[in-house]
Amino acid sequence: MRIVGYSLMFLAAILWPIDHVSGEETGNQLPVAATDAVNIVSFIDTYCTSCHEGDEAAAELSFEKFQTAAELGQAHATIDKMLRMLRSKKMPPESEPQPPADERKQVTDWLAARLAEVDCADETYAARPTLRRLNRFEYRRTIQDLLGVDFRSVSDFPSDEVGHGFDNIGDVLTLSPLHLEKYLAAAEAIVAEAIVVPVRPRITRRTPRELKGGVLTDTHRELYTNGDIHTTYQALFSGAYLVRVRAYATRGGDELVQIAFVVNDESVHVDKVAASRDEPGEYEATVDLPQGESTLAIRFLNDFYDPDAADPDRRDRNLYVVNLEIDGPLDAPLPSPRSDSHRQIFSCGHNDGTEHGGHCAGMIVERLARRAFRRPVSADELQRLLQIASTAQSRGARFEEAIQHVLAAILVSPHFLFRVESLPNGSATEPQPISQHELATRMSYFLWSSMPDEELFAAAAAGKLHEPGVLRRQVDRMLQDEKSQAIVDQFAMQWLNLGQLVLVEPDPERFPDFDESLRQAMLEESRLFFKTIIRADRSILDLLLTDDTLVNGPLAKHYGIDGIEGDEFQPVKLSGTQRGGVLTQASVLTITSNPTRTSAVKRGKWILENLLGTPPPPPPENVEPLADDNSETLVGTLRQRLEQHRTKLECATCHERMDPLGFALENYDAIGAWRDHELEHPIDSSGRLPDGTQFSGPRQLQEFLYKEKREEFCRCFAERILTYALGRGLQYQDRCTIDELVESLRQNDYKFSSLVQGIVTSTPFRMAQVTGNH
Amino acid sequence: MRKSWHVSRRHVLRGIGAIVALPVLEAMLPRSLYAASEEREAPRRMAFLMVPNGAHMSDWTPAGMGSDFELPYILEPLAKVKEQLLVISGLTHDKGRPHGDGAGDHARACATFLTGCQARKTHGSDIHLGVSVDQIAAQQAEDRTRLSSLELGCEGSHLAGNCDSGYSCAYSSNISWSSPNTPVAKEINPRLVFERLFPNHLSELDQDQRDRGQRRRVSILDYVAEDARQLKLRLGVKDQQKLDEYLTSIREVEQRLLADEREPAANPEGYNKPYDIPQNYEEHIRLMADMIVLAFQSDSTRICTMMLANEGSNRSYRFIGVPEGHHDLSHHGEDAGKLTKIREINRFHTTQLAYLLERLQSTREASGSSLLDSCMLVYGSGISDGNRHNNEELPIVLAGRGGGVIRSGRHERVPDETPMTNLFLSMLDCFGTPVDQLGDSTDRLHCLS
Repeated sequence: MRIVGYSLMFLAAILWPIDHVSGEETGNQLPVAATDAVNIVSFIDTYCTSCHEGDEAAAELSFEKFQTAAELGQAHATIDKMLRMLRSKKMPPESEPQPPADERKQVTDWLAARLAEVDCADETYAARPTLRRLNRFEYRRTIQDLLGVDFRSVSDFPSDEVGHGFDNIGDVLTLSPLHLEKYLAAAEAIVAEAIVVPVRPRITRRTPRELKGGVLTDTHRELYTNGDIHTTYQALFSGAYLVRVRAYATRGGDELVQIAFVVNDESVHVDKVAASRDEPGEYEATVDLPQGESTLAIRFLNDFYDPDAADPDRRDRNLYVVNLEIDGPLDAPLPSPRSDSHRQIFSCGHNDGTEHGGHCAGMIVERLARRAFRRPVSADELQRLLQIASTAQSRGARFEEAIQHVLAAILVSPHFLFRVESLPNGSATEPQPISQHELATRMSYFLWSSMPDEELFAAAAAGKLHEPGVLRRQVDRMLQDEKSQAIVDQFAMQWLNLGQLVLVEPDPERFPDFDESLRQAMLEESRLFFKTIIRADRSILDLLLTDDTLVNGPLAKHYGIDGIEGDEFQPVKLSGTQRGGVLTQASVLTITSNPTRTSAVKRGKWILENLLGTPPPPPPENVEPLADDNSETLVGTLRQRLEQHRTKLECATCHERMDPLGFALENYDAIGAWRDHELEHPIDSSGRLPDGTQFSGPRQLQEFLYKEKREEFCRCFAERILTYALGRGLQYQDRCTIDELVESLRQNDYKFSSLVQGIVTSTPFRMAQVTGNH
Repeated sequence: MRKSWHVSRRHVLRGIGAIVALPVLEAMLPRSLYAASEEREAPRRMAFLMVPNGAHMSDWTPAGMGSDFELPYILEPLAKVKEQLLVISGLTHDKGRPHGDGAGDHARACATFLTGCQARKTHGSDIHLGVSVDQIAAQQAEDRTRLSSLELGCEGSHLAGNCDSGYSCAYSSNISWSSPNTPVAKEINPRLVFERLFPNHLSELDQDQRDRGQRRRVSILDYVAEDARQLKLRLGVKDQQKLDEYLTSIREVEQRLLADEREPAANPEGYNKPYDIPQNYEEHIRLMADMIVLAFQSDSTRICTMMLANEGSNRSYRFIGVPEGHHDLSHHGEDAGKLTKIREINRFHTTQLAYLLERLQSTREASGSSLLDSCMLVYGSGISDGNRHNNEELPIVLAGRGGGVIRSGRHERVPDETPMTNLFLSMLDCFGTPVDQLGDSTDRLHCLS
């Protein structure tokens, strides 16, 4: 029997005396020591057994079967449920007597400690399958892969909520009417782009009331002097349109009224209006319109007014507009690059001009639905979808239009918007493999944030995906595909909190070098760096310490690296510089700073949280934070002031862990530029941890993390990426998987791919079970 | 037939400042709706605006009581609409307090702001809160208007990471909740709000095409609803809840489509469609304020919520000389320099409130009264002092007369520990959607009239 190895965690707890895991659900670690003072039996007797006892125990949980605390200690599933209920205060119910907060905490600590002793050989675990809505990023990429349409307006969707640090967590991806409204509108826009329906020209008429300019009367727009009567028009396609104005004029002088047809301020045609009030005339011009909004105007060019003219009918030259029509497009829309997707959809009897036979609709719809739903489609489903098409056609829609209707319905269907996984068959409580297509889908959304490609579909259809060899080959192939950039853009950005970089606003007076191009360069460096880790399958420890990165001109200048110009990023060797590893990247250094100054605390906290997985607890109430200038009672450099701050006892215990890590990075200012002084004070970048470990400057800190903390780092990395891969918060049983992942990293030179392979072949990834905790 | 306004209006410039009196509302109401309103009384409207991180209370709370009160520094920008204000001091959101849940005051305060419920402390799984006051009203009165409610904000959800000490980001980026586990997503792009309010704006479709579009949408919704019902049978309890969310949403959108068919949405001639989110924060807030005015004016909805920023926002206010982050600053430690900066931020926000209230004030109903007269608009924060994170003595102002029910132009103080939700109960009475209990309410608030 193998007890989950937490000896290292235990060691860490000794070295780092404040154990953050005090029953807060802030991390995945659990406390190691439980106090003997906890009388769990009396707690249960006092607060639980009035309902949870006997044959009719509430929630089928009776505590009678546990005679001693030790017996309860072995019932991990029960303990897990108790922990959940007690921590979230769902139990005891509000109407019942409540335990005091400290007693509740003692009990939850004791229970948590029991879970830390789980035997991995005895308990295999995979969560209950969960319905997961596509988030915005996944939606856009899926549409791209499904239809070849780049749906940028995905930013119009409500933003996705974040849970457990990521925005792909099934449980928090809720759906509100606003979402559905957007999905419906998106579906219509997407099908219009994916499927080209030959347009019939149509006539749009503008009444005087809808036109602008001149003087509006009940029946006309009238111009008594030179000027425009105008309107805007949304052209669905670029092309030729016929503009027709119905108008008449009154005569003045010797000339007829002259009008110009003006498109987007450019006169394209001039005409003379001879018609009179009795019989208004029609005047036309064919104009070219770009797609989208255009301004169309009828311009009166030659006003004339002579009240003394002999002929009373020749005194005043005016223009009267009855209406304006736009007819078009006159030429059918030209094939555009997007019609690639159109051709792919109409894979049957269309492109060569032949008609679609009855079987074509079936073939086309089956392929669309299978790919959109990421699984084979049942005959019944196909029938219902085809019904949409035939209904549309019976109402006069063209075939392409009918397919548009079907595709729109597919894109709003829960089978598309959600990743659906079925409950495992039968009532077995052991984890069961999920279906081939479900596994393919989990893989593609983990590695690509998108749907499976044809090769993955084929492997699933052949029923081979659960075979370890096949699985591994697919993972290697998928990691090498360009689409694995999604791991960087989604996982890495969120894990390292780099999304914050778009929000930071360094004070321009103090940091005049910071501008948008530098902001973009910072982000791009981190993205490209992470990408090389994945694509070159490097050691994840390179994130902590390495001697290369990628920079462009602005960033090289920021780093003091000579000889690199321009906006293109290029790899550089860093030996001899003060850079190398994420901790020295300007992106990370900037998001962990305040707008006006660095924050050793934020930097230390960032390391504890994101690299070591041991976040400090939140600060107590009523603490005074540091001021931004030196006019305070605390004086000196930021470091000196922090040290004074730290002498306060209630702050010391946590800050002893955070601040020294941040101090070592003090040579980087609030936008990550190197500095030797802060104001007139030289920078002191030495740090000393409570266990006596000392380091000075970023390099020594990095080496300390690289050598002494790699276990914690690997564990933290594995926990974060497993959370992301599974789209759920980790449970106590998942610790067994984490152990295996860390072990696999150690045996494979810490290569990134070994982590991904380990996850994809793990029980929680490949399986599901009925009785999960979810 | 193309729907158009019966009265042309002066052009209202987007952006800052340009306020042009809008003409009588009656002529702009869709005729049938207008005729349908039984008593020719203007409909009542409610709005809730939240600002983050509390306020500098000594410059918020007015000196003097009753109608004899002066506007302190932060409320000064509201001078032109002082007679429409009821400043209420002493309200409490007890469920914003820890009650043993530890840190996370911002998330909790935001969550409780319109619900009066205590947020369940969780990172992700099983978020749980309560239904918010606006949604209680919206659910009871959903057939009154085309949109049952409108949820607005200026910041999207947090991009990554933890939001507040173990609380899901859902709690600090939403104030409207349609069920205990469903936050109502908010819209932050003024262009998109405009397009929702006025879907036919600039549309080239004729009636026939529009009808066909409607029929197509309804048939799509019918189809996918059936999909969802069949799927639901195969899923576990938790997933069934998600499909219920989906089915509820379908129903709501379907009702909206049917309402559109009965009475196509009006077109707001004279107001240009806004572009996307402007760089300038002030302009952003004002565009959203314009959207509230347009929504009420066109009677597209009568219920609106808006978060000027997410709770705990660390936005910099450099443009008013405050480069520091708002949240960092709110932990002021009684430092005089910081307090000055906080009250500047507070005053910046109330200046935007003034813009909204003045626009509502200058918009006339058919009866000649102002749009603001028909409103009940709550503005404030779920936190009092940003340094102490206390949830009693909240900065709250109620603007508008609620159709004559509220006697405004006063500063009132309620007994200590009076739940904020008591105010909501009274507002729901006035709105015609009464309930007996909301969150931790104990009674109605009797000082409104």
